[in-house]
Amino acid sequence: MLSKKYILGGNKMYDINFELLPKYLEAKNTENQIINQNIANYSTPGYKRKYVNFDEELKKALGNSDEIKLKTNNPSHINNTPSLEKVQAQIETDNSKSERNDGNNVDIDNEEKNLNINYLEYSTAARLMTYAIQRYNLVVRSGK
Amino acid sequence: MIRRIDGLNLNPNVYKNTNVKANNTNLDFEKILKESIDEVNQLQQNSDQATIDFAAGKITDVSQVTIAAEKASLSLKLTQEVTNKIIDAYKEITRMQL
Amino acid sequence: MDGLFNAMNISSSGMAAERLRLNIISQNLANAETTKTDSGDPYRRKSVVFKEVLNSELSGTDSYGGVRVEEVQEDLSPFKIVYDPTNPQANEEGYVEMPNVNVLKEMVDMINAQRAYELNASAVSAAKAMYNAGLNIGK
Repeated sequence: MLSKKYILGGNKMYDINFELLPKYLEAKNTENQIINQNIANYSTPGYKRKYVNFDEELKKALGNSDEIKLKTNNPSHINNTPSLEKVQAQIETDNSKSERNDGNNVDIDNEEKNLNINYLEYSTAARLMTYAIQRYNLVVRSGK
Repeated sequence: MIRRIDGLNLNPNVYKNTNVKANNTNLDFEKILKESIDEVNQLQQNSDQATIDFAAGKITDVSQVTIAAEKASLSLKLTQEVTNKIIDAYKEITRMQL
Repeated sequence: MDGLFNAMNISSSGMAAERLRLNIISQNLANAETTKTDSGDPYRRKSVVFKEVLNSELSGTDSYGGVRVEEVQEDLSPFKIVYDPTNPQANEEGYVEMPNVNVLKEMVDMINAQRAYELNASAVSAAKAMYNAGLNIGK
């Protein structure tokens, strides 16, 4: 069975670096656009801020266990722990009341903070992907 | 003032102790390789765990992640170098015996 | 190509909208004392109406298009009436109609607009940096 996973040595390492990280990057990219939408609509009357539900879901899926659960038919489903495969970035609207007259509930300071954090999270994940790719490059090239 | 260059003072007794494992040379290399590879695997696992912790928001200092990744990378490179050197040594030895 | 740069487009639209808003605020401030315009009336305060841009034909985050100025409105609230007999525009009782511009409110709006403009600009930079980070994965 010469699947990609098999060749690249070990399911767990492959899953962490080539399944989890790309998914994380995509979620952060989505989140970035949502944050920018909020900032752009800071002055729009009636606008309610949006956010991405991902971090919490991912945390639950990764949980306190060491096993990354990729299959949907795993026992942890019974405990209401989402499997990693099913964790997606969900865009939600925050309909909380605003303190402003125009009904807009964007907190510009909060969005600025989120913007910075989001960028750093993305950069870190990108760096980790690079490490993983370079490690695999070493292994692949060493087979003379 | 030119110092007199003494002839090579090869005292066979000096080298006696380093020849201890001459009969077990193969096993020695194996042991070195196995230990290296075990360490590489461990460090890679540490790095992968750090990656998971990062994704789950459990990391408090980003250097934990980068250092773990660097360690894994460096140990892999080192093991590769060691392996290459051992293979080269073997090649030389087999060539000598012909 | 737009999908790739949607984050930047969103923030650019925010910059453009806030810049227009700043221009309108400046105009209000410059004309806070203008008692007579071409129409004969005092200057009427203007304001911008922002609207969120959503492209329903597109899915996911591509549908988010930032913001645009839907229109520049005239503020229909009444003019201020000030007692100033020395003013050439004053009526027989000595009252003048002044623009319905509240200078303090305009200043507060200006600060907000500037802050929003700058944050949108930062967001454009961040989007660019993120794009590069993604581009350089593996290097």
